[in-house]
Amino acid sequence: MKESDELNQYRPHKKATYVVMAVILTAAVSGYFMGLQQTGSTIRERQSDSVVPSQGTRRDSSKDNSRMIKGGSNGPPTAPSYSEMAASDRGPNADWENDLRKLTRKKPNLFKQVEPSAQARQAVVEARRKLRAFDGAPPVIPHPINQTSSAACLSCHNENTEIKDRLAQKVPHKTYQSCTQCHVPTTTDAPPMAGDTMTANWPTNRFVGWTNQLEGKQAYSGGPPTIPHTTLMRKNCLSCHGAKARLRTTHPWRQSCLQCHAPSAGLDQHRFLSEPFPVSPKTRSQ
Amino acid sequence: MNRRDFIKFSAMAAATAMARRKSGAAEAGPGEASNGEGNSPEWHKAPCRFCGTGCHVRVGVQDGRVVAIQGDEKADVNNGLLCVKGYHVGMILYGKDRLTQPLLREGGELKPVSWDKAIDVIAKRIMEDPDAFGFYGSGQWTIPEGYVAQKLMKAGLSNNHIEPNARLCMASAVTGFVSTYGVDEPAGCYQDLDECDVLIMWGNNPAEMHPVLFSRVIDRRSRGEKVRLIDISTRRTRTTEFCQDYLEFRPQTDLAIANGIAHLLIQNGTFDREFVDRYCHFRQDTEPDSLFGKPMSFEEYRQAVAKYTPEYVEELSGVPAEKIRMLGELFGRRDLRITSLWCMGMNQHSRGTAINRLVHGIHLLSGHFGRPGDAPTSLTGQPSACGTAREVGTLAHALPGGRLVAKEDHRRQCEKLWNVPEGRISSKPGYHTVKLWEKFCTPTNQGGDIRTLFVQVTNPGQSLPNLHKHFRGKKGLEDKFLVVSEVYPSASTELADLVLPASLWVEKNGIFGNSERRTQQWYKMVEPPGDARDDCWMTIAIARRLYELGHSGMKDRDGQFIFAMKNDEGEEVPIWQWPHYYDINVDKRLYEEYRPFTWMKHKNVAPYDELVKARGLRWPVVETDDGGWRETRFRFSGFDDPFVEEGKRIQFYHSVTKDDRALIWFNPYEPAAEEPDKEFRYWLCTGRVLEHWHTGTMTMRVPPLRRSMPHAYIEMHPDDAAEEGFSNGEVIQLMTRRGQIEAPVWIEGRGRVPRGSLFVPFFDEHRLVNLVTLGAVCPISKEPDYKKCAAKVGKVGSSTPAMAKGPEVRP
Repeated sequence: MKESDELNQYRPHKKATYVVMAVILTAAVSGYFMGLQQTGSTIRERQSDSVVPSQGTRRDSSKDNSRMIKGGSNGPPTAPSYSEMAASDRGPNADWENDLRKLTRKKPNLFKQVEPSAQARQAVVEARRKLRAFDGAPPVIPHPINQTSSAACLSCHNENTEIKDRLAQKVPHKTYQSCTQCHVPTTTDAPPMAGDTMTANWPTNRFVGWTNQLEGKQAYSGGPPTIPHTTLMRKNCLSCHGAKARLRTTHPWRQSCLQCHAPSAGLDQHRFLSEPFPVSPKTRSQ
Repeated sequence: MNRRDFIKFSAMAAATAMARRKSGAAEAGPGEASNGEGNSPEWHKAPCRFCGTGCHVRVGVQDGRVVAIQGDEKADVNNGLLCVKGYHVGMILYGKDRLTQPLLREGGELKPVSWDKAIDVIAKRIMEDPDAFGFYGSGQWTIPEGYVAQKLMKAGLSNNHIEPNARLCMASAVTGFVSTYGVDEPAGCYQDLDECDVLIMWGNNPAEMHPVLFSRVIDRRSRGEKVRLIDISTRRTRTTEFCQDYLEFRPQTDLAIANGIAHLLIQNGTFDREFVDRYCHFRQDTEPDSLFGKPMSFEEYRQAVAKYTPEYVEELSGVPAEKIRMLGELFGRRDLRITSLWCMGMNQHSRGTAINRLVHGIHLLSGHFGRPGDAPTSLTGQPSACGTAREVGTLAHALPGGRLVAKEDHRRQCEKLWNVPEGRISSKPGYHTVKLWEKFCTPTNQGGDIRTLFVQVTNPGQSLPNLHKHFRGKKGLEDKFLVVSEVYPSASTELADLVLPASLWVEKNGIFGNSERRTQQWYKMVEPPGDARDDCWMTIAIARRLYELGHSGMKDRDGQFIFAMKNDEGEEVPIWQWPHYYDINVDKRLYEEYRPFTWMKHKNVAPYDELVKARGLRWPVVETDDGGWRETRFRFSGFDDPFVEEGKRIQFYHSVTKDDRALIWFNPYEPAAEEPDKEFRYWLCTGRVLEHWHTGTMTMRVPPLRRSMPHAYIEMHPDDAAEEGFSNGEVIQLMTRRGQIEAPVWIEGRGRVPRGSLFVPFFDEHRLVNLVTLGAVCPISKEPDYKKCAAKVGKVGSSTPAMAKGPEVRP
């Protein structure tokens, strides 16, 4: 008796629940189909400038298809719809995959004949100079950096790493811990100031850096050239002259460079007779 | 090579040869000559122009210009390594807007005048009122430059108003050393960095400010050595990234942390009882504060520090109690070598002397002193803050070689060495830096009794605290006359009435003294541009003009000009005439005249000719039996210091108490001079960045450095920025009770401040943070606190700055 009373109590609510559920179900079903129809029409609209490369065009790098998010000419960017996502290939775009393949540090062919033109070589040297105030200056960093830590530097620079058309060069000197002590970015990471004419108007500098002669001297035609630059901070020849490097030697398979190529004692501060080390106070006092 | 090129080239080569001959280099044998290898430059040695580390660089000179820089592999300090500033130091000579002629303000505009006229104007201003003249120099003065200025003022004009900008950076370190050991400058040297097991950095960011020294420590890890780095700081910096421990404290509570360590050493019984019994006394401050305070017993000391339990220190500083215990335990271990490093964090402190004393105190109390790797070491920011400001004593109260103007016997000694009549040196100390500028910026009829001020080798228009009060107040005061010797237009030349173009770095001979007592010499290598001349020459020329005008102080006891100099043939050389200045090596003669001053406090600097051969020598440098010269790495330690008596392990031979003992001080924690409140709710800290050196006058003209760090910024915690509604890079207004500046916010940038804190670097002359800093000074050292004041921030134009007069500067 008591139980049925309680049940009776709920009866009107039960009815209401059915109604609500029916409404929700109708809305959901019709919404689903309406949505499908709508996104379908959007896809058709966009077909001409497909955001996501279709299977056929995926490796066609001639087309700019690297953007996953696209906006109208003026409006905010619109995200791809869910239905688009299902249909799209979410793998890397053409350029990315291209680079990734290079990134897999494939062993370079040490014996490949590489003979760059004089201009190509010159271009590399010029590019190199742009990052240095004079021959022997620490190069500036041509990309943004982590301002608080040097730890990230070596993830690219501990080997010659190619990224697209750039080469993250292997550190040519012994690894110091604090990279940013000597190398600073070319562009600041500090937020730019709009209309900051004062910074732009700083007077320029008339310093003319020493540019070393670029060719080592050969005693005779075919003789091994001397090293025209200091080897201070450039102990690892292969980081600039190795198989992947832009100033590739003709014989990167050889490992002992100094066997044939002589550095300059003057540049390397080893002319002990004309400029001896100062008397070591340590040995004196002991 | 065509004919014209050839003539040009020969002329340049001749000019270079001339510069080298005149510099006196010829006297001591040539530097490394061009080695005939291609177009290699000629290489010379010089200490770097920038910080107090004192790296040696190799300067490549070609056709009369500096063209390249190398780290000097033969230098003990840096072993061939430099920092980014050092590698580009050669470029500071060639900024396009170098000052090349004297400029006199007429009708509000700076107009070119002759050097004769310029020197005459200054001399006549001095003659008019010698006591109202002040000389403001710097820790970038070479030793001879500081020495002539000191002699002109104290022995010539009987005027003690001479100050170096080092008052703004090193004064608290000096009072810390003097009140602890009785004599200035660190006992240890950089070798401590090679041998310490634990390195504690107190409010210090050496990764950016002393990068070469920092690498010297952390590169040990590459060799497999273990060194524990502890960063005690008020913000995260590049240094923090390399540290095992980061202890972030509320500004000013470093006092409590140091006392907390002392308390734990005593409570745990781990202090070095034998060391303390044999070599130390205890001291506390008097009321009012004094340099030497009054004695206290060990028991009194124990009770005084007993209050600073780890929990109480945590309450004050925010550093967890277990971290304080960790520090206490480390100091309690005798098997570890502990080195403390500090620089501006401890010195630019309204209780700078106190925190310096306390850090020395915990090293002495724990016996972490006098062995390689066990050292309390203060670093300097300027290349010759030690060599010139501190050793030559170019301070209002000091005389060369650690002497004081207030002490009669010190004055008599100096008068004798300078050969001037007894009583020539005034016994009344002059105005310290902040006071000097305050007096200069106060109208004469309101007690502003400094009327003419000569500034050399520094940029007070940017570096003084609270610039409205201490520099810009000069504007409109008709009878005040500011003379500025500079290399580039700066915030200081802006208000100058007379601008003198100066030679820079290797355009002149010079001698610096670095942080580890190392005296370093270099020769002139290239000619200064246009009509720029040496600062040392300027001072001598002014003295000579005064002599001609009949100032009696310019004559010594024998009636000779005080800077009279003779060549090797015994003929007087008119060095006050610029064409004759390099006929002899003036630097060498001045330095050799100065050397005897250094003997009293056993700071014997090496002879000039020894410096020529070396990459710097650390004093005391004494002659050995075989006629050689031997430098000292560890002062007061029997195993190395030649002045410690035979058989003694440690001897503090200039002890305040005259019994060879050092003093362990107690100083309580006291709040900062201005702390955040409801309206000004942020702590404002100022400081430096890696790329720029101090006010940026030189480094902002070096493209690679400026490109990397083009302008100042306001470092802010992201949550604070969100709360204030600022986006990264937005230019905002920063206000204190003294003024306001505008600069962009940089969130998650170079350093990371905690909530409620702001940091702004001071290198940018277009965003002068010193317009808003406080200018409260340490009562003993008179060094201003640039690290702490209260500030608020707002959108640009959101509110008018509170320009109310700031709180009075403490005496």
